[in-house]
Amino acid sequence: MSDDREFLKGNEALAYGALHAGLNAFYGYPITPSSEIPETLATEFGQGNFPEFRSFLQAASELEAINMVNGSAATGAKTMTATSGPGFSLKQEGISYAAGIGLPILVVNVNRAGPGLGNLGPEQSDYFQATRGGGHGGYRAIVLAPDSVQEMAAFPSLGFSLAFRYRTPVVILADAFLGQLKEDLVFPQVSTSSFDTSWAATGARGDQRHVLASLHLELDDQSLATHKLHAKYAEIARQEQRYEELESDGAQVVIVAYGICARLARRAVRSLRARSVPVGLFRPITLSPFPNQGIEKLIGQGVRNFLVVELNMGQMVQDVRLAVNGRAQVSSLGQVGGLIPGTEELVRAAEAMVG
Amino acid sequence: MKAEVIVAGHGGQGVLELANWLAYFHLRRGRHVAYTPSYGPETRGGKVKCYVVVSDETIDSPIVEAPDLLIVMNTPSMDYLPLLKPGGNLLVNSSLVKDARRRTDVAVTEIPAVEIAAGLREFGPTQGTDTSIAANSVMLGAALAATHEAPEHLPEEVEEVFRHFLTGRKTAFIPLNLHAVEAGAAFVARAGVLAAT
Repeated sequence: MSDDREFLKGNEALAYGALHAGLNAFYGYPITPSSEIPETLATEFGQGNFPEFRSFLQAASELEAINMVNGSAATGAKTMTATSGPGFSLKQEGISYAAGIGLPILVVNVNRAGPGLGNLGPEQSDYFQATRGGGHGGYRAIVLAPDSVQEMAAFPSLGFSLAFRYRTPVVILADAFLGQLKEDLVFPQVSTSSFDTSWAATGARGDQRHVLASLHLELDDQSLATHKLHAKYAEIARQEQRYEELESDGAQVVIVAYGICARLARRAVRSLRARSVPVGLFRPITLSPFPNQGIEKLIGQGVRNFLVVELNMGQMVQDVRLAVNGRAQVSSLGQVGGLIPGTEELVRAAEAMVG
Repeated sequence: MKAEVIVAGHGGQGVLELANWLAYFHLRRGRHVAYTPSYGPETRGGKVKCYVVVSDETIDSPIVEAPDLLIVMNTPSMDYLPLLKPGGNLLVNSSLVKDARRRTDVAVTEIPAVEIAAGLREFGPTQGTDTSIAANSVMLGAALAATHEAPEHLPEEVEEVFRHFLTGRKTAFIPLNLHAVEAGAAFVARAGVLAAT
């Protein structure tokens, strides 16, 4: 095993992952259970270890922070913010503007229990908010769901590359468990090639000025802009679906889970397979675009039962049902309030679906 | 090799430190590790509990439901005893926990960790230091001995663990903690624990 391994919390790993990915700017307002992200970045700021990290500011509010993020991203800088539930809600207006303008921003949401103030335990109840846009207007963000500290470290780099390739907001949707969990990890080698920023507003200097705006007063202009936006989303859906499978060959039942639930499901699947019960795991890595291609493949293999496990009352289950489109049974197992389902609960629920 | 551990006690006993040290020790031995702290309201005045999973293989779930090793620092944490796997190891801080022998299907070792640590006064950073704070390191030594971690290079490896975590002013506590680990391991060796296999 390579022993340049680190031992970090998910939130710390995410902060360092962003720095290794060439983060230029961070604006945020701390909120548990995501605060180690700005804390780690504040510690590194100005230390010289990451010379590309040129701007860090704790804003007076989430609204300030997200608009600073948008301003910074408009100059082509790799810009990130991090928050949790209530803060994510406050940032939705800005995320909608970023989608409308076409700004490559990276927003991290370490999902805690809700609604309202909720508590500090892990939930996945911001799934709808993250995958449906969350703010006003018909837009979507790309949503990435890490399930380990290693992926917390790796996904800022992936997030920035997607954000710049498509000029779109990217959300990393983690949960309170992954934020606090410590694991061994290796910082991935990140390509340092810079992204295309020819569109950015960095001063015309006599050339043509770049206007970055989401305002289209003429009806035809807005219609055209929205159609272009959705052509982009169709392209993203074709090109960027990501997922992982475990023991899905010959499975009669497939558990669908992401984030910390995928880790629980791994253990349940191994325990079932040890008793020759044909159960597999399908883990969406992109929650948006939802990996329909993977579900399609499983249906083709003859899978007729899906068990969707989430830390909410059943949100992703709707996307699984859309992908399945009546061709298989889809059940939902949810746990909320910061509680985590037990392995035995998953094992029993999955086994009960095996014909 | 795979081991699942629960470390439990109350705030101020260094439970989270102990779990961190244990995890990092195993990382340095080339294993995958996962450490999950309890946090939020639980840590204020109440129980502190954390999970440590160490494994040669990639770790599926970091959540410990049935530990191989349970380290109990105070009496309320005996509540976790029913979770311990049959044949598992229970290490108890007997300075605070009486009546630990509640199950006959597990190996129970009672370690007077506070007294052992308090007896290490000569290794404290200053003459007046209350060295009983190193009770968590005594339990770390006990855990390494009880799970039969290969003793070769162990003192050097434990020292590396402390050098990783105890930086700045805390480096003055490294000699005390090293002696506490040694004392905990020696106590378990004398007690002749049969570890779970």
